[in-house]
Order: sequence, then C-alpha cells, then structure tokens
Amino acid sequence: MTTLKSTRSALTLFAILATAFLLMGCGAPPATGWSSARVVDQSIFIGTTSGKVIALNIADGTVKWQFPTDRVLGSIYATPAVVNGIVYVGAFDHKLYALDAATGAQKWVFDATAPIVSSPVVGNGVLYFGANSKKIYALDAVTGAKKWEFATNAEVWADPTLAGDTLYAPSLDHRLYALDAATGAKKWEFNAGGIIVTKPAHADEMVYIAGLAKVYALDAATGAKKWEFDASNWVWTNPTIVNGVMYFGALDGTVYAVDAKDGKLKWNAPFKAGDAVRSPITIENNIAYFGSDDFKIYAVDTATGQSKWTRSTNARVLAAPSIANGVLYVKSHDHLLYALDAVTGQAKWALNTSDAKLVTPVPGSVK
Amino acid sequence: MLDFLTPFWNNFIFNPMVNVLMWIYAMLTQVSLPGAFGIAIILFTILVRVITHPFYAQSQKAMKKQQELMKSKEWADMQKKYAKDREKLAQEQMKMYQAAGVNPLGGCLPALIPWPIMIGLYQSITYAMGAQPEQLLELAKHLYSFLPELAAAVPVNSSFLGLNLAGVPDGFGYIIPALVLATTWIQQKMMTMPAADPQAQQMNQSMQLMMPLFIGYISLSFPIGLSLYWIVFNIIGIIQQYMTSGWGNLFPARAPVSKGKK
Repeated sequence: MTTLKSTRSALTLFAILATAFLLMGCGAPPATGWSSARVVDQSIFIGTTSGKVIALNIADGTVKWQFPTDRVLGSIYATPAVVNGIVYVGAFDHKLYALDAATGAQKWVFDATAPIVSSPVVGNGVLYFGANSKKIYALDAVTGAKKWEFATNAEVWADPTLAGDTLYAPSLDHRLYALDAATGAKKWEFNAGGIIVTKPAHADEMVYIAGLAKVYALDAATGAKKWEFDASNWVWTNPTIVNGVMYFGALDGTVYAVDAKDGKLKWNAPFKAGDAVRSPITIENNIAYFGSDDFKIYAVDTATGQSKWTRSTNARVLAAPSIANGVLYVKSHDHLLYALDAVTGQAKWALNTSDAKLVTPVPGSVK
Repeated sequence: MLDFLTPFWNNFIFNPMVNVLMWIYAMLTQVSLPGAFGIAIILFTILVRVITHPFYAQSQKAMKKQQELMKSKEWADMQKKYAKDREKLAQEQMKMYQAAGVNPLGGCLPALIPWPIMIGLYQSITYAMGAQPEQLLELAKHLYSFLPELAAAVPVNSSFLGLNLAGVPDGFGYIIPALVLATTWIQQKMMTMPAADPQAQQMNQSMQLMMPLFIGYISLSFPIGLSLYWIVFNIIGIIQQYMTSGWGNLFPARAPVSKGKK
C-alpha cells in the first residue's frame, strides 16, 4: 500500500510542480520591451532588453555609457529621442528620463505614475508622450516641468506625431486625438473602431493611422476620413510614407505599399514575410527594411516588392531598423543589436545588449 | 524543445479558449455590465469546470472505490499477514485491486486530463488582460478574424469590485491571495483520503499545507484576475467534491454516508 500511496503522492506532486512551472513559464510571453535604435551623429542610443539605456560608438559598437549603472529600469518599449544633447526615454518603471547624451548623467526625471510604452517626440522645446495613466503629457524639454496633460479613456501606447502646431496622439480607447500642441486643447478626434498602437504618419495635409485591420487616411485639419484600406490582419507597424507611398505590415506577415493619395496598391502583390510584421518599416535608397516574428530581417525593393536579401537572427524582431552611412542597425529579441551592411545584409558587428559585450562571430545567415 | 506542439496547442486549446473568453466579455460589455471582465472570468471558469466535470467525476468514482476497498476486512487482514514482506504485500494488493476492478492510479490519471485545459484557461486570462504590451500583441495574433467584435472589445476593462484585475494585490486586494490560500486548503483537505500508513499520512499532511501555501505565495505576484479564476476554480471544486463525497477529510466525523450504501 505504501508503494502505491507513494506513487500517487509522487504523481500529484509532479502534477502540482509541473503546473506551477507551466503557469509561471507559459502564462505569458516575457516582457522585454521593443525599443529601437536612435542614431544621432556618431552615437547609437537604445533601450536594452535587460532594462538599461545604452549609448554606443557608431563605428564599432563599443559602449560609451549605460544608464543606470546600479539597477534596471524595467522593460523599455520607447525609442529614445535625442534633441540638443539630451536623450529622452520612458520606461515601464513609470518614469521618463532626461539624460546627458555625452555622459548618460540624469538631468531630470518625470513620474507618469504608470508604465510608459510610448516613445517621446520633441518640438519647440516641448516633450510629448503618452503613458498607461491614460494621459498624454507635454513637458518642458529643458526642465521636465509639466506644461499640460490630456486625459483619454485608456492606456496610451502609441508614439504621438507633431506636425506644425498640432499633436496627433492615439490611445487604446480607439481614438486618435488632434491636440493643440501649445495648450493640449482638443481640435478633433477620430474613432478607429479598435485600439490604435501605431504612430500616426503625417504628409501633404493628411494624417494616416492604423486601427485593427484598417488603415485610415484623414484630413489633418478636420479629421474627416478621406479613404480607408482593408488589410488582411491587424496592423501594428507605424505607417511609413516616402515619396507619396505608404508602407506598413500586418500581423499575418503581409507587407503593403499603397498610394498615400487614394490607398491603391502599388505592388502587383503584397510582400509576404514568414510571420507577423510588427517592426516599423524604414526606407532608404528605395529599399524597405523591417523585421518579423519569423526571426528575420528583410530588405525589400520598394519599386517591385521583391526581396533583396533576408538575414536570420535568433529571435523575433520587433524593433524598427535605423540606418546611417549605409549601415543598418536593428535589435532582435535575441538581445543582439546587429550592424548590417544595408546593401548586402552582411554583419559588420553585433552587440549583446544584455551585457554590453560585442559578439564574435555574429550569428545568423544572409540569403 | 516542444515547439512542434505549439500549433496543436494554439489551434485546439488556446485559441478556442481565449476567443470564448473574449466573446463572453464582448457580450457583457454590450449590455454595459460593470466589472464585465471579472464576470467573464467567473462564467468562463464555470464553463470549463462543467466541460471537464466527466473527468473529475470519473476520478472521484475511482478514488471512492479504492477507499472502500481499503476499508474492507480483507484488506486489513492482508496488511497484517504480509506486514513483514513488502514485496509479497504489493503483489497481493495488486491481485485484490484486479479482483475488485480497481485501478490504483484511476483516481489520478483522469484528474490530470483537465490540467492542460486549466493551463489554457490561465494563459487565456493572462493574454486577455494585456497587462504587458507583449501580451496584447500575442492576443491580437490569436483572436479569430471572422469575429471582429472580439478585436473591437480590446482593451478589456479590468476593473472589478474596486480591484484592478490586471494589477498585483495591494491594500484591500491582499484579501485575494488569502482567499486563494483558504479555498485551495479546503479543497485539498476535502480531497485527501486518510491513510493507514504513517509515512503516507505524513506526506498527505505536508501536501495539504505546502500546496495552498505555494499557490497563495505565487498569487501575491500574479495579476488579481488570475487569482479570481483560481478562487472560482476552487469553489466549484469544493462544491463538486461535496456533492460526490461530502466534506471528506475536512470534517471527518460529519462526513455523510452515500445514499446507496447500506
């Protein structure tokens, strides 16, 4: 009897432990953030998957500084903004930090009382960003003093866009708000029928926004809808507009190029990645660069929609690629920041952002 | 390592569950019910418990049969007879199990079948709450596109009875881990069979204490919505247990005799 009892107890114990581990491990994907690289002059600024902000030398990836040195900030989803020698970045620890771009020393910090996902934008000496406090904030970029705040009905994850005297700020409450950048007064709002997680694009008196599986073109002055485009799945990439063509990807891996004037498809057939495309699309020299959940970085000809090259990484790529002097900088969820030749996709170097050490040889292959 | 299982898991367990949960929530929000996501979790947990009830009932039936066999005079006589020969004792026990049509593991195996469903339920609630951006991103990939009302219901309003279901317990919210601990302990206590063997009895007692403490402890760092699911899961389990075996080991003296038993 003891043997059977023991077997049963062991089975029960195993089931409890297995379930506990499964509950802890499989319950949710790890929150690691998807901060993209910001390239300014000879430096790259990026939030790491281990919860730090680092500045790197653009030439060889060596670390100039990291912030903070004694702790981590929690997940960093925001891409740093760098203006007038100050780096601005928000973190999941509720704080927006202003750091000296040369040294990483903290200049000021603003407590948004809730996690920050939205990347800040700076214009006319004012810093704008949203937070999980359901608010959009405007701060003095030099002192961090609050100038105004605007309350929405849900968390604000998307990056706002500043165009002239208007701030276009989306919220998870399904609405895009057009606010007076000086006062925060609402000019108009547009209900997209679903959460908006993408940064609005502004071009030629129009503002473009994605909500669920639709992309809307709105009159920038009134918010009146001009046209809408039905994508094959949810659109999580920021629409990118270059030379009158808008590029965006969907969660089923489809990448579209449409005419920004009327929403008509430009390519014969949309490009198809192996999995979801969440990474914003960067265009340079007629090539569209983006990452995918299939662990790959793609370079696609903007004229034809045909692949130029594909590079593999060890994890999904959610961050936007940045490009400077013919080098593409893109972070994968394998913790590596890759510096790739923009023409060939060959790696120049890679840095493990979790321990700030260069990785040799660089993993992955190019097709 | 288990990547090959992912499509099966997503298509047959996780996707149906998360879509049903979101559908219940979307329906409740259409009638402007306050605390809709909390109610959706409760209704969804009840639904899952009802669906998995046959496995639970089969497990209980097998355990009861085994318990009755172990109370019999023949069983006690065998224990005495082969007290010094454990190998022979084990052989005789197996013979007696076979003769009585009892599978000694019959109480455990059917009870393990609902566990993957429970994990799917847990995963569904976690993703639907979208406390982290990655969760909402994943949720977006799993909602059925032919039910656009589900996507339109995102993000869920996680406010329920003054608690933030997506947040971890604080202040008044500490009552939730306490309820998780209490209901887990009660259910464990009711389910545990008294063991004649002192070693097995000691193991039972430590399990009765360790499991609730462990679950209660981890619920301190989990979103309250998950703990709500756990509490409802336990309460339904307690009711099911009472209906099949009475209070069991919780109040041994007052345990009712089965109607059919003479």
